[in-house]
Amino acid sequence: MENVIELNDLVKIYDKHVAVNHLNLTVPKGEILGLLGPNGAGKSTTIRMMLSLIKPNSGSIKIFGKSLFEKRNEILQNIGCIIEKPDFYLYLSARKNLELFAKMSKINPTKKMLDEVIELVGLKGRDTDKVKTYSHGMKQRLGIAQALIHNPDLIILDEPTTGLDPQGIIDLRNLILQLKNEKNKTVVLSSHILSEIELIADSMAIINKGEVAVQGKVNELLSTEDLLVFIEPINIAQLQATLANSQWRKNEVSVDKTQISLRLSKEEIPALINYLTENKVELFAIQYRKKLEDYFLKLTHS
Amino acid sequence: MLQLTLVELYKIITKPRSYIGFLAVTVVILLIQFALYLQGDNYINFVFQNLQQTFVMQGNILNGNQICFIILQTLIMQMPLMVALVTGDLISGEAATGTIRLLTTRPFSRIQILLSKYFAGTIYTVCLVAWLGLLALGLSRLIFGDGDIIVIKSESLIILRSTDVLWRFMFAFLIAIVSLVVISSFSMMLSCFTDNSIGPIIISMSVIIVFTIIGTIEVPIFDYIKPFLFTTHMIIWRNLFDNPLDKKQIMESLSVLVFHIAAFLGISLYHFNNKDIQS
Repeated sequence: MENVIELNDLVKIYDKHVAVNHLNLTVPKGEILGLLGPNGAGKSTTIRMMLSLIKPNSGSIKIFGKSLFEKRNEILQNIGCIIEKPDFYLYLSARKNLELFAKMSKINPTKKMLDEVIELVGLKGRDTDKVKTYSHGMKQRLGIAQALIHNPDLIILDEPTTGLDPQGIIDLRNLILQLKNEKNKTVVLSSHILSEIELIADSMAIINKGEVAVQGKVNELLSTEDLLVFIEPINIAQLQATLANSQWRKNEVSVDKTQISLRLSKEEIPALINYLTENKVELFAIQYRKKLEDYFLKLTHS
Repeated sequence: MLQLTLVELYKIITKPRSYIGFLAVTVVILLIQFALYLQGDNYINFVFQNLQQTFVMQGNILNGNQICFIILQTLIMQMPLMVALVTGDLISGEAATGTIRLLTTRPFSRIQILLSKYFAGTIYTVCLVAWLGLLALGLSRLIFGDGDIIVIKSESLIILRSTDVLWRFMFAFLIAIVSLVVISSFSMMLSCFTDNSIGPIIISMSVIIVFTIIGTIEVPIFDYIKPFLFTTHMIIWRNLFDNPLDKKQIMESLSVLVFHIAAFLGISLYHFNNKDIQS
């Protein structure tokens, strides 16, 4: 599959601090890539290097198959982005801001184009108000509008859900999926809300200490992981004693007042239920969780 | 590039602070004109009291040209502060509000972005000087009429015929534009080095004040420094009202001012082009 973004051996050093350390990353065309990582991992620096805001010390950046250092303007013409927080000319209206950003992207926006993008992000009726009267969520919506106004093929969104209300988050999720499915856009999405990434990303890359710790399809990466199984018994002491004398003892992750959690593969669960039944352990519930959050924490804490 | 410059101009036009300079120029000029309209004779008697003992002074001494000359002497050193208020904010203002991130991810090179801001700042400066000229010269001539200019120097008295002053004013305004472009380049250079909106404006103003003071104080040690200060050359417009003209001195000062513009702009371009946008 054709790659829209190819980062090779990217290094960025601030004084003596290595922010990005020989980072390699590829994003295939038409995919939504979730970019994850703890604070200070190098996500924002990587995104800023992709957008030519920051110059790397070494390495190469290819976008649409062209070197960013050689064809910067041509590449940026086809990228829409939100970087960290939505900032606009507060003394101008939302519509005027969009018009200016469109012009700065070398297009002359028609009224229809502006109307469409304003409606798309749900700002119809407020578009002539000055941005200084906007809430953070409204500015975030306007940020998305400015990222889309010039109809780019690649959209880079750094924390786009910050400040959005639940409905706004759902709207944005649907919008991103719509852009991918209907318009074949490539989206790079950096977010701290892991469930969002899990819900919409095709693939993900976890950046830790300036390196890509892992990159791959979300389902494939998560399927290789053990499940977190929560057992809620009627008598916690009985369950604890039963497990202590079993092969499952080594799988214990945590014990609290009401439940014990174990890390198991899915195939082991029936055997566990049989063992507990044979030992007459009565249960309220047994459930498992396969969460990106667990995977993320495991990777970044190791 | 033209579109980018127009966008930058639009930003300047829609920013309330851009009108502070125009407002200040208008208020000061109207105040001077109003005061001279009411009590101009007292002012003329006070200024020319020594001359009146030696010469018989006849005709319209308090005319539009003379008043424009008075206004220029009063106002032209304050104009840089008004220019710095706008141009010192051009880059750092965008950095402070965060819009610099969106601006520098558009399909224009950093050099194009900076030059468009520079051109927009220069156009603003030209407009400010044009407004000054319109009010100081145009309105003064309309209210007070045409006439000769009397220029009192420390060792001489120059009388310039009314038919001989218009071109001098035009060149004086042109030199004012060049001088103010030095200020806009300087403040914009400072603006490239910081993410703080107010810093470059305050530093620009402070430098102008300190340089002007150094230029004014007659202490021999400062004589070595004075030729290198741009503020020394910014007042060269006064030489246009000499007779005969010291063209060499005017050209030398203009060259120094142009050199300063080139140096400030060069540093700005180099720094901005290589700067990591962290804001």
